[in-house]
Amino acid sequence: MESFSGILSGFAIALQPYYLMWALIGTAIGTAIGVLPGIGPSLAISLLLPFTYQLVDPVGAFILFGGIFYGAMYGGSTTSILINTPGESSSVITAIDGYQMARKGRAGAALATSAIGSFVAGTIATFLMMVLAQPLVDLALKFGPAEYFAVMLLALCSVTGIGGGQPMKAALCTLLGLVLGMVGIDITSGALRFTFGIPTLFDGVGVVVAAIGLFAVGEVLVGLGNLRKQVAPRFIEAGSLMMTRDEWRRSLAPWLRGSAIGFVIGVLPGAGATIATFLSYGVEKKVAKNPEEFGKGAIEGVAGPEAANNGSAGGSLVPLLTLGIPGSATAAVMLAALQGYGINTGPLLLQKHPELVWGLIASLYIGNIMLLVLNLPLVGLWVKLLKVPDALLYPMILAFSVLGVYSLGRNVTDLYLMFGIGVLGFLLRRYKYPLAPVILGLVLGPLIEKEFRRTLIASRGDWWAFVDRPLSASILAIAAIVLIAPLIGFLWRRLRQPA
Amino acid sequence: MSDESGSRGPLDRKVETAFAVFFVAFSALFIWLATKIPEPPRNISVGSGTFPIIVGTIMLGVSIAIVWRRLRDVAPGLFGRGVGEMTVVPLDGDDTRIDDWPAVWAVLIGFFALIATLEPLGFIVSFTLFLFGLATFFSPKRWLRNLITALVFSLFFFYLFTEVLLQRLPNGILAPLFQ
Repeated sequence: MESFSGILSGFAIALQPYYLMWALIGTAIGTAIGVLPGIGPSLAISLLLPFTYQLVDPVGAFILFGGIFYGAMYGGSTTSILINTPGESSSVITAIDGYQMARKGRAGAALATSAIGSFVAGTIATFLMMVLAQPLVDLALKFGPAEYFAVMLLALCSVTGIGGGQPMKAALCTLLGLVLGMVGIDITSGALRFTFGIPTLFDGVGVVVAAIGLFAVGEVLVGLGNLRKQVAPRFIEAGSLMMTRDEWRRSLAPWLRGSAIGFVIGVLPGAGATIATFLSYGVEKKVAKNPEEFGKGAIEGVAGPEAANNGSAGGSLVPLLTLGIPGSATAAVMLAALQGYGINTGPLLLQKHPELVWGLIASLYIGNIMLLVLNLPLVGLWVKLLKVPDALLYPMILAFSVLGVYSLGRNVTDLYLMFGIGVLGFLLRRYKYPLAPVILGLVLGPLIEKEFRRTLIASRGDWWAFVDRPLSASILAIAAIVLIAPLIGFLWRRLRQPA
Repeated sequence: MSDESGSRGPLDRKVETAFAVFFVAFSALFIWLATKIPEPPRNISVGSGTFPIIVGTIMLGVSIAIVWRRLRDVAPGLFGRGVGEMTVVPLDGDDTRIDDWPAVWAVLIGFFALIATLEPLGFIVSFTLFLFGLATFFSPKRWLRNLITALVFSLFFFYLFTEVLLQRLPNGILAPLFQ
């Protein structure tokens, strides 16, 4: 009942023309960045923060960011289907069957099943977010520092265990993020740590500086490092967007399965949309009547993953809004944005700022409808964005990065820090270390250390305090299972391999 | 050899190994720095250095494990059989391949120059030079388009920030024009 009255008040906010405008701008920007290479939702939100701090109130900013997040998931599929070039990593799997459908003259149907699947998943995920928000907050309010520590440790373990694809490298990146998060003034004791006397570092490494450095610089270097030797992509016309009766029938179940898989994976911190799409594709191939069609243009291979990637976007907002724990790099940047607005995150967010949480959830319903309209009839318009020459687009991304970071603190040292993090991000990306765990570690680092120390200080140094209470002990046990599951799976596969 | 090595050359593989070794050294340095953090005067059970030491130690262990696996992959005779990667999700192609290293260096130098010249030259001049220079490096035949785009971009965002958002951007050598 509380959820029902909450969402009604949310609609009262989100339907105001001012917030509808931000929802429309967000969905349009999100679709554009989904289509364009080089910019993901986390980078786009990071780059926009300097503007939003100046121009928009927190509710409007979060409606804008929610639109960008959902929109990027919609837009990423367009280029996967029409030119076999995913705009986002979560659309990689869509390219396999989506592009094959396009080659067979069914590009319009692939785009339609992708957009409708995204709409179905987005709506289901938003509904589940609405239903789960209040009960999760009620549960979280019973948490002590040990439980908070355990939940955050679970988040970091799931980033490591299932989030990065390569657990050892993901673990290193998570730890690197934690290390970066320790730079600056220690919030508990006031001691300076790892600042080397540089005043800019006293406040720590900014999440926005790190996110822009990691995502923008690395992406631009990889993009421009191949530009002069790459073959121009071949466009396939979208054609009619009408799906046949058989295509509708084959899409329906994958949309629902993809939505469920996406939402569950999205709620798990760090697992992310890419994993959800791979899992959904695997499930669809397993349950399909004609699995041999996969890879040759099976519509289920587009419908399921596209629903999954939107479902995971909604799912990743659940821990952010209820516990103050981000489930993805984009959610981590949104958390940093909340902190930048001076809003305390955590379970009290819903009590203290209900207009923000319910306004965002309501605007996601509205944004989903906007995205359906923006993406289907206007698909030709979005494809035209790809005509922006890469030789101009990539330098502009770097220019925006410098502008964004400089305008936050008007400090050139921040720019050098971004440059250094950017080079590190390029090397990490080059050698297949995942970048999202760095941001999650950086955001969660100060929070998890605070709860770690609160637990130990309250228990006068008794380390058993972490497992004294059944809830924290259970969460820690799950964290341990999540962490060692890939190792067990790996050893199991090796044992089953013939010698 | 692990799948991640793919078709990369021997130099690149050495750099990758060196990159992994760097994290071992970095972790050790981090632990050492953490031990130097002064403990607060109060007699409390956990100080500012405890958490960094724990994190640094785990990072040292993980980075040593990565180096060990790397060495087993590149020199299986010396370090035992290569084990490959514990990949949970199948990796998609090689989206990190670089075909044009001079371009990467050009971008890095240009980007560094932009940061270094932002305040001395000012926003408009440094951004115009950066955008025009880099775009023309990659698309030399379209130099006029690049020049116009660079100028419009720089002037538009300078106006937006200074006049609409009321944020200060460096004027640099054009300062006399804005007084």
